[in-house]
Amino acid sequence: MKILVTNIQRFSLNDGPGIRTTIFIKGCSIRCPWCCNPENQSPYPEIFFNRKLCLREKKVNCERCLISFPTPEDFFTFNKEKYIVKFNNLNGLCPTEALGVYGRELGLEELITILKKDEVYFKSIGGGVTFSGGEPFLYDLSYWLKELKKLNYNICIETSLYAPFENLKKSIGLVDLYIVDVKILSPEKAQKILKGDVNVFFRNLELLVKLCKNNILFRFPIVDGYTYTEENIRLLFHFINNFHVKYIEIFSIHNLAKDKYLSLGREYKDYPTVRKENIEDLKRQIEEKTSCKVNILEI
Amino acid sequence: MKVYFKKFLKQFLSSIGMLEAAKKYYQLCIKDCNFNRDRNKILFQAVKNIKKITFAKIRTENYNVLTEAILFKEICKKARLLMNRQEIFFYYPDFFILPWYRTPQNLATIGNLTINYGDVLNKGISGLKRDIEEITQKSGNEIFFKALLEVCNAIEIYSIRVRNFVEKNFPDKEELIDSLYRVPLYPAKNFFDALQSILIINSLLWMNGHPLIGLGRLDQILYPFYLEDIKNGRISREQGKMLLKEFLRALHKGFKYKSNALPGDTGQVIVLGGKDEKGVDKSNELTIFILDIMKELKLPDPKIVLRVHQNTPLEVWKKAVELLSEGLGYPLFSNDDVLIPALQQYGYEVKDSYDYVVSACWEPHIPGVSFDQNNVENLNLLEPLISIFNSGNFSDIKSFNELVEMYKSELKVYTFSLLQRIKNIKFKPAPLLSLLTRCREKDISDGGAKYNHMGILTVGLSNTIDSLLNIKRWIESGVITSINEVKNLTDTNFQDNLVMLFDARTKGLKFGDDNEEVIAISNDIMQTILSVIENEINPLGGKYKIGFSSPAFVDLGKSLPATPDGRQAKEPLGVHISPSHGRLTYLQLFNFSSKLNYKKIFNGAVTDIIIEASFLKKNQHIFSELFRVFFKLGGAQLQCNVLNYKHLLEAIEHPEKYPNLIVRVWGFSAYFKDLPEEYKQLIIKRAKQYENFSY
Repeated sequence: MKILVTNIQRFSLNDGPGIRTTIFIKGCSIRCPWCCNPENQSPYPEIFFNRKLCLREKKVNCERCLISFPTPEDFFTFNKEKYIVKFNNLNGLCPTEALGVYGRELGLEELITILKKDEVYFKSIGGGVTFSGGEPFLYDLSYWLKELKKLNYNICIETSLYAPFENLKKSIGLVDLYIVDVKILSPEKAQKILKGDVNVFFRNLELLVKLCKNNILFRFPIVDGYTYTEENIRLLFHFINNFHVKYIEIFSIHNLAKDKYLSLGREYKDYPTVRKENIEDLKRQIEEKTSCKVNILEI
Repeated sequence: MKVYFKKFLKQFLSSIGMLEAAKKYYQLCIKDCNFNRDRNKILFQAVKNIKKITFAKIRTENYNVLTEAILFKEICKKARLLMNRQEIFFYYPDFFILPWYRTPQNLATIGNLTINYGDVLNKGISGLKRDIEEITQKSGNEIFFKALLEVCNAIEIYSIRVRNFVEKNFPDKEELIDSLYRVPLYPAKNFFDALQSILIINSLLWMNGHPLIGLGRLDQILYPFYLEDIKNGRISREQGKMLLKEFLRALHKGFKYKSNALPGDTGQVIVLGGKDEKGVDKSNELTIFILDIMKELKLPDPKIVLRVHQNTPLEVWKKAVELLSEGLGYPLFSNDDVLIPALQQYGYEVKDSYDYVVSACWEPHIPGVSFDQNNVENLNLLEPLISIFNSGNFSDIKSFNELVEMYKSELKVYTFSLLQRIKNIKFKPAPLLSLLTRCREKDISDGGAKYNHMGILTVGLSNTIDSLLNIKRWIESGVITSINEVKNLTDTNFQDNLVMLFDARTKGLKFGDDNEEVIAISNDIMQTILSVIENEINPLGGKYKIGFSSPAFVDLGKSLPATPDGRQAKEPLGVHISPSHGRLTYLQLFNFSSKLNYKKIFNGAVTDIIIEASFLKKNQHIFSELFRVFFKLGGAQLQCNVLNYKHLLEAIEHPEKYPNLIVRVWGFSAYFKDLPEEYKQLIIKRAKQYENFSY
């Protein structure tokens, strides 16, 4: 099995304990409007073109990409499947990396080679490999996880839990930490906004809570108007009480993905950041009304 | 006309014995203008400073080591004394005392080493004088014997002047006066004495014109005195810390004038920590005190080098990373587990190797017994590559390997000619340094020290490796068909082909990547230099050393044409062990750097990184663990510039908002606002390169 990934990031400090190598898997089951990894949504390779970096914008007569394509403007309108063969040749072509492809196939062997380079840091400092995305559980990762466990890697998976039950089930016992994003909890809103069935989330979560409740870390992204609404916060309290959540990390989303959206030919919407006082207030409320500890992450 | 006038002026000044004084005065005025080279400003400053000048004038007939001793005595007699009421110690290096004497031209001044403060504290100058009478007198070197005696007498004269001055002006400073009756002439009896004694000797070194003199392992040297005082209740721990703080604050005095080539370049390095022959850690309470105090003072100078090893206590690591997080550019870390074996293999005695300190940046030597001039010349690794291109001899090169072989043989020729240049350097006699580095039979400038090695700086390694790797990639992928095309690119400064400029900078493997090929070629090229210098003996009887660092990355870049790594003409060269182009994570760079072969190549083995300030503050524990692993893997030395990219940009626009912003340059810390423009720009460029490291 090979997995389509957009990025392999060594020295990640925010994706689980210690120093981690994070694999960003391409393909996601939901569509959070605030998503800061839009390149990980589609399960297919995608061309990106970051106009700001293009040399021709600087009046330089660069024609490297024109070998394969008539003009950069045409990239987004191309029949992608037809040109997929050419995608691999595209990477490494553009001198400024204005043009390239999100998504390349990663095999287990290559992954292990990359992990090995930092093994000594994982062993001495703590850390390991994190699968993020996208939604990692769109893949049946069990074989990979078993092989990585044999090599004693600490494994984290960042998941929305909007994923096939079977894939999740097969991972039980092989994952050291599930980092679960709690997002929109009302069924209608989840359907409307995330384009996902929140019942899938709950069914998967029940399984996790039943079988490995000590291996879950909950995270709550604070997005004004989406997750940060009166209704959703109320549902969050219910959620914390129902699942006896003892610890949750909350964080404000960042607006750093603008260039990525534009380079994919997609529209970008700015999200107002929730004020620091309000985030601290949310922390206080949760800690007062429930027995859950809250940590504000600065990402 | 101008040249003629200059020559005439020089001759005239020389004939009246004022050339040295004029040179020194000119330098001082440049420093007063913040190293700005504007003639008018300097002239204006020169007029303004005239009232500060004192001359130390002596008659010279046969110039030799004794001349220098007599001059020093005159300095001790004439130097101005000044003290503020709130000061606890007496410390006043008079930088405006100018030597008025005749000296032969083109003698290099010895500096950039570490003297033996321990000897001064334990024996006093009187004790050293006895040694001289025993050893030097018997050695038969009459002139040198007289010179050393003169130096001792001179220090005595200065000490008495200082004591009288304090007694007269500050009769209530009883502890200080009491101390001045002992030190530096007699052994220090307590912690206060020890600190005061060091300050006096230190100021004399400055006044005698020796630049970049290190302070040595102060936590080791001072600890017995501190401990004794604590034991017999003479001082409390708080008082001890307070004295140390005043001492460190005093050493900051004259920051501007102490700076050698750039503001901040003072060479006032304090080496802390380290291990002994049994592998036991030597850090103590004073180690922690000094780390804490520097964090409180937030001064760029003096600066700290922390010797670490596998048994460095976590407490020391914690304090060190806390200090690092302040963004002062220090401590710099030096790994005993790599450097001590390297020093032994090179030929330093085992006992000495455990006592190593570093020159103004990080080049190791032994305090108090080394002449080691670790920065005598720059070896620019790009020069041989450029000369291959210029010679046009590459047309029959068939493969990349042939190119590498050609480069290596050119590098050997270049290194050899550099050695010939070094062999012509003559050093100025320095009896004061001789006294303080245990030279007892001949002067330090004559090879009188126990170790007489000379170090060569290297610059441009990363650019050279990137150039070679680019050429290889271009040949293999068919982007170019002959090396002539590469020559065309560099000859035209990439002007006609910006596509290739970006390609060169961003594509392919780069220096600093933990890739076997990159590591192998980097080691191969350094070994090539080593093979030329390894068996050579320098004129003073010592050997040569090389390393991976040089402060010349800006200056030497200015005169170089474009290079195939994507460096355009005049741009700076790569900085020590760090990637010139491309973005690498710390782990890649650490893996790479810890696989470089430092066994015989350690004259500056420093990996140079930039860390975003808030990222470090948030992850102090991880970073301290990360550094420990790096050194366990075989990393040798580490310098971290702790910066905020946005603040730097703002500081360029609004310097008034960031008057105290400190950055790391070469191997010293400096105020950002004081730096020349090209250094500011380079730091900003590198900070941007590392900006996305903060995941």
